[in-house]
Amino acid sequence: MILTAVWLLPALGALALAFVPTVQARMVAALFALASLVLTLVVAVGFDPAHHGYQFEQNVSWIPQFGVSYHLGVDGVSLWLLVLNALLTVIAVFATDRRMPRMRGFLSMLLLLEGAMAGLFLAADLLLFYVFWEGMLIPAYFLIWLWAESGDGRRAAIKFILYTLVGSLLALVGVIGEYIYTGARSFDLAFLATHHPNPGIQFGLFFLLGLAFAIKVPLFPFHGWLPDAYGVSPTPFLVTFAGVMGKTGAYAMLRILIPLLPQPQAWWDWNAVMPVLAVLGIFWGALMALAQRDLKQVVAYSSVSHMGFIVLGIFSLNQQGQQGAVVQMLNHGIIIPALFLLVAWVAARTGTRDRSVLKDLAPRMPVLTGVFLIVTLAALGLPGLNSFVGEFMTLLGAWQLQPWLAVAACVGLILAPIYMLRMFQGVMYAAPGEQLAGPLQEAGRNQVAARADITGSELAIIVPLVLLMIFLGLYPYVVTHPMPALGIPYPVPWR
Amino acid sequence: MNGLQLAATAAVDYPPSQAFGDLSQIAPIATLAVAMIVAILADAVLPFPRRGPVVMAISAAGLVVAFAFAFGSWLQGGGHSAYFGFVTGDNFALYFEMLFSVLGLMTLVVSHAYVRRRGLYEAELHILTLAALVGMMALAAATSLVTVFVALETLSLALYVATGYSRRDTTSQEAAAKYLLIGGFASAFVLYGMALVYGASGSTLLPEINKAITANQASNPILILGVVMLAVGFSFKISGAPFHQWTPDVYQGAPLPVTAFMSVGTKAAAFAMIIRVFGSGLANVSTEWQVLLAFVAVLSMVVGNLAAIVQSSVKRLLAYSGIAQGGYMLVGVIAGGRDGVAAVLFYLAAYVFMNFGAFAVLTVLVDRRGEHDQLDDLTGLGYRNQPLGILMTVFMLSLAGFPPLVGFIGKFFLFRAAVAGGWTWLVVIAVLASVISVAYYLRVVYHVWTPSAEQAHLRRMPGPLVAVLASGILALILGVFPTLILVAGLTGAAPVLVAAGH
Repeated sequence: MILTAVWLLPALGALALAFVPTVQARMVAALFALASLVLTLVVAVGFDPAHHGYQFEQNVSWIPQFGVSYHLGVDGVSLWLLVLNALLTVIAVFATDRRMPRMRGFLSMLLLLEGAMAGLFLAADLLLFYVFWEGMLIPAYFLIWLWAESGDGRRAAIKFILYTLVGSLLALVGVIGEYIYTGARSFDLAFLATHHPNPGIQFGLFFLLGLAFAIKVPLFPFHGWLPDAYGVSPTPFLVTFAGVMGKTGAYAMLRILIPLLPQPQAWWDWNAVMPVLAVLGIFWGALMALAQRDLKQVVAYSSVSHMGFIVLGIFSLNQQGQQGAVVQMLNHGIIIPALFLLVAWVAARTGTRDRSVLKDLAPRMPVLTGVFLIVTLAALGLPGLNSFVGEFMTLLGAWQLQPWLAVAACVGLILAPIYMLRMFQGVMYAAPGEQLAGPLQEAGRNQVAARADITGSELAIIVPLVLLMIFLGLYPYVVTHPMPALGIPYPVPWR
Repeated sequence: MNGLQLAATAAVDYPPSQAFGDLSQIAPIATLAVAMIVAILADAVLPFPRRGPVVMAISAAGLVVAFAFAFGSWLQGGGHSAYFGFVTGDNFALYFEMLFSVLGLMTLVVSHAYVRRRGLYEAELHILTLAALVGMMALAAATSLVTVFVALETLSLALYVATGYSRRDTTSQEAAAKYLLIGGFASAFVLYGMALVYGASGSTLLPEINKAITANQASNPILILGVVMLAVGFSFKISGAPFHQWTPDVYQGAPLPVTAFMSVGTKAAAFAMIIRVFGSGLANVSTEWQVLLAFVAVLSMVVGNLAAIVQSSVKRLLAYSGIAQGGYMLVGVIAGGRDGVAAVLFYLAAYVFMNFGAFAVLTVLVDRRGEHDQLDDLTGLGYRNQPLGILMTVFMLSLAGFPPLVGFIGKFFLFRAAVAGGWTWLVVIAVLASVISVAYYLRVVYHVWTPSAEQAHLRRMPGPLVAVLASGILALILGVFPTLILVAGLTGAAPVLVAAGH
């Protein structure tokens, strides 16, 4: 029952917001977000790492005629993503500007999104998973379109939803195909994981399902929607959008493609194609990040690059790689939202996100610069901070699969310091003797007051994320320890 | 034995007990027919101001009683064949009789508010609705080609008149004329097809036809020509492409409640007819009609969805969307079997609520100057009347097939049956077509939630609001608890398959 509460509570919060006055909306939303964070922490504390199979299970028949059940469960993979989702929603609610137009609608969509994503992480039934998968599109669509921060929100929203739907509606055929061709006549994931269709069928189903997940991740070359959608999205929404929704695609690969379709071979082997696409994505994202002037786009493309590591880990098809991928999902979910928040705060103070005109901000905002530095270093994978752990495990796994893949990914890793440090240095410091660049000197001087440092409330929002970066960098055992407690059998068992 | 002798013997062998038994099988239809006659008399006798309300009360009472009859018989496990096999009161018929009763009640409340606001006569519209409902119910209950045709014409004639109901409105008149001509054309196709099938099988009774046509007769050119004719005629009625051209004009021209009513009612009745005639009567030549219907389904989904994108009138947009939705349902018909037919029955119920609800929202925008069905008229609806905006969003998302709304579950059932039946390629086309559909359904949503200059709060209209609210709640509840209707659909599908010999 507690798992139902985990996803239903935010959804009820979204409903409750319709009945509270706008002034109190932020407080009510924060209450619901905090309550669901507490619930997920209760689940995390009560989780038994030694137990195999789903925990806190709830299994009720939903459409018995077609073998669909309302089956929820949590295991080592979904546990931390669930907590991440709840945590980031709390941060998103607090990061919401008091002057946000149509505040109630915005917050209720944010909570609805949290509910849908929590349900997705909990679903132990393929059709139920699909329901949440599609359900999360609706709040995301409205958030991109109605609360676009800049640019053409409608266009970006339509692009996002059409991209995603091509994949996810074909995935519906795949979901049905799983049911028919396995002969299982059931949508239960654990059951399907022990009933594999023949490799030819698996090949087809892998395409139908994998396309949807690849678009959501997004995996190169299916990332076309991402720059537009991230570009226009309001920052509080980006916290959960970039922080959690991208992970749903990777999570689906790990939860559905790997255990249900272990041998997708006919004309070629999909399991061999995916890591190559992942490495290409690492490169492509990094190169595009290098080329951007807009700070938000730098972060957006760096996100594409990082997601490549996650997919590479998943399709290294061994325990190190896949666990590294899960760790990396968490790291990415902590670092990218922090970067987006920092970029938004810099932009709010200077009135621009253009890298080429921002210079020498460090003297005016020393604390913000310090925080920015830690996050930057975490993003480029400095040992001692969280991202290093995940990337190391991922590369270890990739090496076992194909050494050249790991080597290629390492080259991609070198690009990360280039674009991250270039961004940080350029924005925060000036070369000796250099002054503030042109536009800022005239127009920006007044906006960038002598002291424009991070405020207390902003610090309160970002400090938990920074602390997590350090903590997980030093003691990743906390998250890897319960991971082998899997809900469904995997082709490569985790120990 | 000539006709006179046949009539004479029948009269002799027709004891009152059997007459009563037969009548009880068509009780819902008979009730509505009686209600309609009483309503006509009341309309003729009563003083003018009281005609409208009284006729409405009579109609509502008739519909409630009809529903009760159908539901009672359903609870007893369904009826059986009656009138020498010409009609039946089986679960398939009862399912539709209940569905049409609910649709009729929703139409009544919407029509009532509509005629008030536009200053039209009320009584006749209700009477025409009842007449069409009698035809629709009879169509679902018909098990002979003769009754099928009579029911089809009853329903069509009533709707031709209802389409032109707005007498001073030339587009309404134009729509009626167009509908009459094309409808008559389609009826001719159906009748010709029936004649050929009769010629090939020697009977008009569907079970007899099924027995007479064995698989090796599939090459009989007369039979094949008949099947083609029937498929063409039926496609006209469900507005399947390439026989859909009349639909947008008629939907746009007809008064809103009539459009709302026929967009779902005609479609449901026509699908009942297709399932009955093809699924049970001509089950042994299924390979032939499956190919024809698959062609129509693909064209409908592609043409309907593409054409809907460029519409600026919501009525026309929903007309094209209806063409595409008909295509999805054809996928279920083609899949066949118990699951396929049940999926179509489920989807039809879902479609009634989603589509009628969307049209009912438009009714609230009607004022004395006329209808406001342009997309621009919807701009800012969500801010002028928030519940209405939310419900319109629900209908659009449900039609687009987003979970957890009923449209998603309906599509899932249809596609599941089709994949199980080996029609995976058809399902792939269907899902790609429905990606296109999202573009225009979301366009409506976009207009609803775009702030507009006009801030005037909409005048309340209790009737349509009740219909809208009921439809919206049902779209959500049936999406979350689909088994409520699914079980009914499976029960309703059974008699057709028994008749087909499966």
